[in-house]
Amino acid sequence: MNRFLLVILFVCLLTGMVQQAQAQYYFGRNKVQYNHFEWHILETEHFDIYYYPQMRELAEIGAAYAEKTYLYLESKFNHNILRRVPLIFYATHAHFQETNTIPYIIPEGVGGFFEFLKGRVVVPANGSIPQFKHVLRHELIHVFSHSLEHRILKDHRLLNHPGLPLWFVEGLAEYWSIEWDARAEMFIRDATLSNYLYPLQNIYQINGSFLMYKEGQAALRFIAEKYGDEKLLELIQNLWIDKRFALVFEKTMGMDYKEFDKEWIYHLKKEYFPLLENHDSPKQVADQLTHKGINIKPTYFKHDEQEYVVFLSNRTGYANIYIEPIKKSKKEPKAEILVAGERSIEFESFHLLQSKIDAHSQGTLAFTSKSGDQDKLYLYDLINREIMERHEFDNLVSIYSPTWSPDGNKIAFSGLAFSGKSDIYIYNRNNDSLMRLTDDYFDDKEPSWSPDGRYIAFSSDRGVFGEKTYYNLFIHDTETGLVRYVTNGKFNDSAPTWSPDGRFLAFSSDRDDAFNIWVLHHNHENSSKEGKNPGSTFFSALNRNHALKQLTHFTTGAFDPEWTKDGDLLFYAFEDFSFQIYQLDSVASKVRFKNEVDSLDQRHIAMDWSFKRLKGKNGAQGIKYKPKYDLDIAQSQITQDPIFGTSGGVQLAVTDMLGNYQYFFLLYNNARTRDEFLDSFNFAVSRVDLSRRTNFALGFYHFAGRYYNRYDYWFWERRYGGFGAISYPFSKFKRLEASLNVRHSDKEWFYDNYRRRALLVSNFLSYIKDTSLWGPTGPIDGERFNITLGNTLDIAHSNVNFSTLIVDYRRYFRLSNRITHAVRLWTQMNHGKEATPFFMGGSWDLRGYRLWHLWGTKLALMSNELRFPFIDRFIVNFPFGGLGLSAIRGAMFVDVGNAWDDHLDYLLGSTGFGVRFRFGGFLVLRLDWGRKFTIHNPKRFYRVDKYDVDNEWFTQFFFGWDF
Amino acid sequence: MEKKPNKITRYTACNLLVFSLILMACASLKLKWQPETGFDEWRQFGKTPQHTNTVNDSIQFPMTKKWEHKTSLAVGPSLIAFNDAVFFHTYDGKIKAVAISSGKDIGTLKLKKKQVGTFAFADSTLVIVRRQWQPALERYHLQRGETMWKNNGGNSFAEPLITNDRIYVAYQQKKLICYKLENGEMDWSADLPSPSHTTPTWANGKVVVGTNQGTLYAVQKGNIKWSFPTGGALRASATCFNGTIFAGSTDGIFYALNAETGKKIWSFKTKGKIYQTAAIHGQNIIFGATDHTLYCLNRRTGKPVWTFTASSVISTNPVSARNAIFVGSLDKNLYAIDPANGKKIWSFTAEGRIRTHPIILNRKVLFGSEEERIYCFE
Repeated sequence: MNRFLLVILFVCLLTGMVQQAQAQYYFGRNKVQYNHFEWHILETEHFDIYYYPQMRELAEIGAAYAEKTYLYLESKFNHNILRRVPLIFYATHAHFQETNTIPYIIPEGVGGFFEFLKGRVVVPANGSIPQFKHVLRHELIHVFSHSLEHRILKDHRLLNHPGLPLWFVEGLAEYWSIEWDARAEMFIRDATLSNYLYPLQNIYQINGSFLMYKEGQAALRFIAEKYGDEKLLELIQNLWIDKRFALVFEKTMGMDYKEFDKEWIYHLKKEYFPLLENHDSPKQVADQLTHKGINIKPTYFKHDEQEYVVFLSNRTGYANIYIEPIKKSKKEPKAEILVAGERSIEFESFHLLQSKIDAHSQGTLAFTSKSGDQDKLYLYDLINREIMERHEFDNLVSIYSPTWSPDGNKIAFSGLAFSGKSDIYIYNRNNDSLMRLTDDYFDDKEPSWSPDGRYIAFSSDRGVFGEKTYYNLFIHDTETGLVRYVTNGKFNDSAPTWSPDGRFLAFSSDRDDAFNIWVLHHNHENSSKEGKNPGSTFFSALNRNHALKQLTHFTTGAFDPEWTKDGDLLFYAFEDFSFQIYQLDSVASKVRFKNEVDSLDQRHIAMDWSFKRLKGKNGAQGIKYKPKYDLDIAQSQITQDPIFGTSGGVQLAVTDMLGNYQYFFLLYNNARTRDEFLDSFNFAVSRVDLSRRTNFALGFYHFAGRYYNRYDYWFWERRYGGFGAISYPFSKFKRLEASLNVRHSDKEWFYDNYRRRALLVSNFLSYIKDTSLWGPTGPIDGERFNITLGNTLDIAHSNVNFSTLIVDYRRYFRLSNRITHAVRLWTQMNHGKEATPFFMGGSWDLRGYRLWHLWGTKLALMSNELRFPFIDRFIVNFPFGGLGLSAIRGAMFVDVGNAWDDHLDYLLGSTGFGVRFRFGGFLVLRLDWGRKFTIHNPKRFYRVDKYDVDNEWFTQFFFGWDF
Repeated sequence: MEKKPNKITRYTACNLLVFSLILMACASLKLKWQPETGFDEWRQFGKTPQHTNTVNDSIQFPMTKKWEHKTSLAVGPSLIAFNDAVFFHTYDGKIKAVAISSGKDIGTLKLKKKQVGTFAFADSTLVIVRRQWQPALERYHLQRGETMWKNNGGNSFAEPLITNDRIYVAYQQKKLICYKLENGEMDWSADLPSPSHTTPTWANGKVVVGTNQGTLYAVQKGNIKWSFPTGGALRASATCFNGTIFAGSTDGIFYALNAETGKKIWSFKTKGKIYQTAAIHGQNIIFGATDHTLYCLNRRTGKPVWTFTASSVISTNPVSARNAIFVGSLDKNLYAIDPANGKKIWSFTAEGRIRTHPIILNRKVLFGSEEERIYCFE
């Protein structure tokens, strides 16, 4: 929830100004500060690095790399940064999600960000130093490009320039941080071969998407390779030429987007179409088991002669664990949800793209999930469909890719400690003990047990090529404790897995420029000649007795191979911009014999590299963080109205570097005459503390002026006092809020000259839950509710005494992937002396009726709405250009409710049809048509034939999200 | 019959007066004194057609700031100066002149909005290359305050070269064109395989340009005589001295080539990229790179003599006086370096990054910083 809005709305709520607007905002998920970090600062030549003591080593590694990157980028951009750059590091992604540097909930797919307001770079490490470095470099490229862009526009005094387009900014950051890799290759190959690549002239249609990132990277790579790297810099330096980047592009490149697209797309086709001669589409050579959404991380299970695949999928929008029978038919068999994710604290996140799951032949599934402040390891009974065991481990924040030992007594996994170290652990179920196999800053992941239980293979960057960010395979011998190379080279190998008979070790590798499945097996002829035991499950590509074969030759990418009992392979592959699960039969016969053996035979791991560290100017201790504040927002406004007069004011927000402590200032004057000037000063000051799990807000205010509402008509009121509020999140989905407001109120009603004074004390307590899943125009799944109880009492003059009840329940029933039945039950009641009225009517609640034209101290509403896709894409072409709209949603609704004081005499209703369209990413435009009706006898609301329906259609246009 | 007053005449006279006033307002860059040409002038980029960036003066230290002039907007990379005037362009489309003796405005020539102008001085005139939005090549008489001729040019990112009554301009449109100074007529044109961002260098009858594709070309009367490829785009203009072409590339390598044949004599690798032109000092060649380093190499052998390290990118051409080398950096400093050993003699910290090449005239050092300032030190 946006805390800034929370504070301001609290103040506004208590002044009775925007009660209805609150209904749009008082839900929301929670950013839970499970940890109170003791922040320190490490100062280097160009950076102030914020870290906490548990990750000191990691901070020093990041500091050294940041300074190295600074020098690299300074030369690359021919530009420098004149201010010190704040870098805020987190040891794990879970910690990163707690950051207050931005108010939004951070999805797991976000690797880091550069925030413009304070120029902060915020980056998590999450166990992988190579990934940490990549993200750090990516974000520092943003820092440099933003600074250079700002300088160029300032030099030409172009204050209203829109700047560089997003595809260029992100494309440049990605291209200059990693140049090109197998993942980028995979996306662009698929886009070209499946014909969904967006040319630059249409790239705005995918603005902000992952595909846009990759296409930007690909386009800039093409420009750099054909026209030189300096051309990319020239595009930035020429930004001043015009507000339209298309024109800047044309002037710099000597060709417009259309001509460039022809050249670029032709180049891609020439590069990728010939691949089809020796490479395959996954669909053409393997059996596709899933079809909708993203389906990944398969594991095999057999029960009662039926084979199953258990996997992760986000096909509904929530990430769930599914089970599906393996049936080779064109129609996908129905997948069943085993464990529903992203709706409860227990299963907050399955780490969709990071963590594998593993089913044991005994019918137990091992998986992990974020559950509150740390991950838990779950064991799930696949036969009885219930959770058997839950385990959490001290000091392990995240757990990934659990794998069963053959006897089912142990589970190996990759664990991420509080310090940021990612190592292999073994959990022993027999004695409930945890053993750590590795202990270093190398990223060890995706362990896999050999069938004889002796070896654990895993992927790691600890090898000699790890310094260049390559991951190779290693094997840990549980008997001797030794770690040996399995593969060794400038490629990335991952997800090793033994076949059930121990003959093969399969894994995914990008050694031929795309991720494919490779298989290691014993070269029995050689090994028997040399007297080696052919039954050993030890493999090494560096051993001349072992043969390495490429199993798949896909154009795109294949990942996470998993063996079935019969020696088939399950895996997931990328095609048509989605990940699906496939099965490849009879692997043994498919392995083409082409030896690739390196003569080097290393028996022991040779770590020839270590992480450079930089201690900073203040030595080993660093400086303890003390909040210093900067201005974040400063805006002023003056309005003039013939009725309401002139008002003007200023609003400021200051926060500290970590966003934990925030101050808001509001000052304005709404005097209509000179005499009123001093009396009409309004101000509010509030302080919000977000540093701990319980958030606090304190403030004081003075408001005075003339007001109007349809209930009180014109009145003058002066209110001054203070408030306090706390918010305690139980989890990401539920929280408790409480507030206390004490204020002096002096109110005079003009229509009857009645004046009263009061010392008002208001208490509110709210319980809020939100598990909703959002579509383009509003929620489409889940539920959310707000229950609020309150009381307002005049403790000095007994002029006011009323109680408040608010219940707002909204539930979204998913009828299909794109169709939802939304239900809202809403009531608000103030009961007692001088009870404040509520207002309703309009597009946000009772449709068809004028905005806020119904009022009473009580209101109730029931809404039913069927939400469905209406127009997926709508393009209008004009001679001078075109206009494209997408995701226009339709709705059919019935609303029934009313507002009253003492008696509810009749119910009002409306029914109709509407369309919603999201404009610019944040504004939803709504248009409704329908008929209004009245139910004269509320007790007999079920008698539709008694409804008094209006003869005329209403049309209502407004903005705002669906309820 | 009495002749009636000529209304048309009065009307015309009024119009002429108004028109003249307008003209004067538009073309208000006018020198009231006759420029005296002599050795002490910085008439074009690199000081001489060979871009040696060298003066014969000795500078006295410590230097003091004579004046600081606030400009209307950011200053372009090049200054030219002669007698008591220094000329520069600003990014609001103006060419301005300021008196060196006082720092006061002499006048302003307004280009079209959004145009950028680079220029060189020749015989009381400025030859101006107008870039972007109706680009043009123009010769402007400074005393008369009027354009002598103007023709349609292309887009050029660099300064013109003027020598032997000829103007040479390298264009983004992949051309190197020679014009006659007298009337602006094209003398010859050479097609280049790639756009050029460099100011042409005079090399014993040939004109040397560098291109975006990273190749140096020597052109004579419209024909390419030789070419030399480097590993990165060429942004630094070449220097020619004693039959050798010196050029730095964005591949980070500084090259010395035979001016006649284009064959490499030696090369030197830096740790950064080279964007700036070099300066000659005695037996040495001096240039800066983005690795913060000012390099001094022996001209003949390419062996390092000394290096100087600033706190950030070396962002200007070095300028060589007898007893000091001046160079600017993005760390906001203008440095004076001892040419004998590379030690810092003096420095000045400006308001902003130094992006305007320093020049020396009559023992005064003039340069600009990005915070809309021109400085004069003596």
